[in-house]
Amino acid sequence: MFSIRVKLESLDTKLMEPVLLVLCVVLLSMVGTALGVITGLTPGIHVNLVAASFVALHTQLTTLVTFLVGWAEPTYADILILICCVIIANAVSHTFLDYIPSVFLGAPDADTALSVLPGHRMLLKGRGYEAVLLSAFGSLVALFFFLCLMFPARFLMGSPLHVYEKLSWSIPLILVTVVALLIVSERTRMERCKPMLRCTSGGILRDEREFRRMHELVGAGTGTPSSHHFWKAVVVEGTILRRKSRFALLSNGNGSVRLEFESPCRLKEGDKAYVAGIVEPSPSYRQALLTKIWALGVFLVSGLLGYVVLSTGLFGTNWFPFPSLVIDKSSVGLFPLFTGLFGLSTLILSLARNTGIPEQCVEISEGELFRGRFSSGLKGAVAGCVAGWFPGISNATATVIAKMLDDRDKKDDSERDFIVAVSAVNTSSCFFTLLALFVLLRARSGVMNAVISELGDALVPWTEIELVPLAMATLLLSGVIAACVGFILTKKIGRRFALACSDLDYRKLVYTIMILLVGMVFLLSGILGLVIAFLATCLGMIPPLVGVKRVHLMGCLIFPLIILFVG
Amino acid sequence: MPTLLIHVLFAAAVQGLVSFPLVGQGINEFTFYAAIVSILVDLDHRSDEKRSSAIHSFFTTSLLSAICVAIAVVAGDVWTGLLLISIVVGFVSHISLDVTDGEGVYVVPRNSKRIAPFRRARRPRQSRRRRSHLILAGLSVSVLLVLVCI
Repeated sequence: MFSIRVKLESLDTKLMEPVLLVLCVVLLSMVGTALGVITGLTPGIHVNLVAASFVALHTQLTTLVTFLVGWAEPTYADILILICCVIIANAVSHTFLDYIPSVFLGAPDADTALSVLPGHRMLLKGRGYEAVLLSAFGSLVALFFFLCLMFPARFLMGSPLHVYEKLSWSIPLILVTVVALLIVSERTRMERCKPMLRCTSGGILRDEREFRRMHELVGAGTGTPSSHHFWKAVVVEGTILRRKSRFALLSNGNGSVRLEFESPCRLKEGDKAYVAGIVEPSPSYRQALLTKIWALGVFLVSGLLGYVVLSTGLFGTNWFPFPSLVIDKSSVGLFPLFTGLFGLSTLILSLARNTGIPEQCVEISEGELFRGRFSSGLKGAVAGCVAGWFPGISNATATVIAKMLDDRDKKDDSERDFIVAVSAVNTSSCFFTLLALFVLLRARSGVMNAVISELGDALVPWTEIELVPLAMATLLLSGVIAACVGFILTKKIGRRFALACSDLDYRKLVYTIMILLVGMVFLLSGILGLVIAFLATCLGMIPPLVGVKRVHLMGCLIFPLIILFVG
Repeated sequence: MPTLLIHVLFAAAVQGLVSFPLVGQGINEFTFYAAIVSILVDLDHRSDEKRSSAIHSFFTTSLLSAICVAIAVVAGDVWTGLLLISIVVGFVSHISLDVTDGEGVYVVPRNSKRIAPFRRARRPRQSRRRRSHLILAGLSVSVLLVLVCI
């Protein structure tokens, strides 16, 4: 019978008793989770930055772990694994809690950037806590699906099928396809569309009497439909200016509106017409093409900025008046880049729009809220799997692609599903990068880079499917503990935030966060970091202003990667 | 109508099935070219159910396919042929999915008459169509995985 065993022979050193090891893992997972709460709730701190700090503070961390678990007499190899447990627990709990500042403060990081708008919209409707609950649920569902998909994914990506190795040549082509998918799928936003009246054959009314009766029934105005009337029934009167098969242009004293009939209508040009129908948004071809051109432009410009920051070795020199605080120079540029693109730009725009936070509803039936949302979680988990295995496909990109699998009709429901999917992608990607580390021996994120640095020789690949390496089993256990505790803490802390946020002075809060972020950019990346953050902020404000998705800003990672692979 | 991702997966799967007997390799760069062409066909997409007759028409598809096949035959080279076939596959798979979904495609450019196998009254419900799209996506992914593993 198929059974799973934990591979203990991976290290030469004698290991501690399994029961003691599990106790130590639980204890240090709690420490990692507590750190994850702090880093998750602090805006602007990315989990990769924390992981890099752990590597930098290796000696101090070893002392702390030895102090905490000294009673179990761990070997050096045990301590290394336990340090990694802190890193993994921190990363997993961070993916649960980082949604809270995104919703309540509008301060996202690169992973939660896309969910800010739906979450913030819900906050302004008094449903911020609901958004946090959905996010926590999405993350937990992702853990469940990860556990279900772990063995099939290992079977596919590792031996015997080796799908990753067979597809690794095509990574630049996959990235180009993904970019084309993101740009062409860009749709003109509803508020930018012209209204159009869709009528059935019964929508052409006979006379003014029928028009008045219909008007009383529908209760809508008789003026020209505008964007305020989208998806509402209206009745309109006017003269037919132009007519072509199923289309007509109706004009009255207030302006004109395009009519679309389900079958060719009997109206002629110059006729006085009374029409009832549903107002729909109708973008012109020019507007639709312009939206796609904007999306391409945003992708290329952010790609160029990303290439300059990440690939030209700008941060090779120290840009501080004093010694640099960061040891890992390779990721220094990412912090000002993402803070500008997704953090500062969102905060500035929210300052311009926000008029205050309404009182938040915290009495929510979780059962009803979560019902029927498993499919979104599954989609997010699968997308997270792709993001975890393939370089260059970020969590945000994977979420948008996952959303393309099906398009829901109800906007409100789609908003909730989107939040569940985004959180599921983040958590599932975190777990799948761990799996990828042990199957391919390659780090797919900054966190896994830190794990590689800590584990060193203790990192053994997962070669036989039924023989799970000890380090991987302990790290997975640590991740599962952090996820369960993170779920509970997210609910509790989210509730407190929801109750407290309506009393806060939003503007003061946003200004404080902005000063904090700018200060951190200067501390971590110096004067050059401030310049990059300024440029990135300007660029980050363009997508919401021109009406395209923020995901195109991910060009800052995808574009340099395509250049790297092609070059 | 099917989402772009479903168009991409379907086009890639069809191209894989076409190129496997020709060059003994299911997944190659032409699989991605077919996928990219199937995306580009929707450049004229305005909103749901609204596409231009210039690209989404039976006439344009036939004309483009005929030109590509003719060039491929004249060139006589397998790789040039595969490149042109990938364009045809990307285009035809996209249009055929749009037709079978009930929205139909235009007969000729600048003509509002569509070829659609289902009349509006008999159009399948949204939930049923969504389910069939997911099944199609699953099938396409399975075909692609099999082709990768062979």
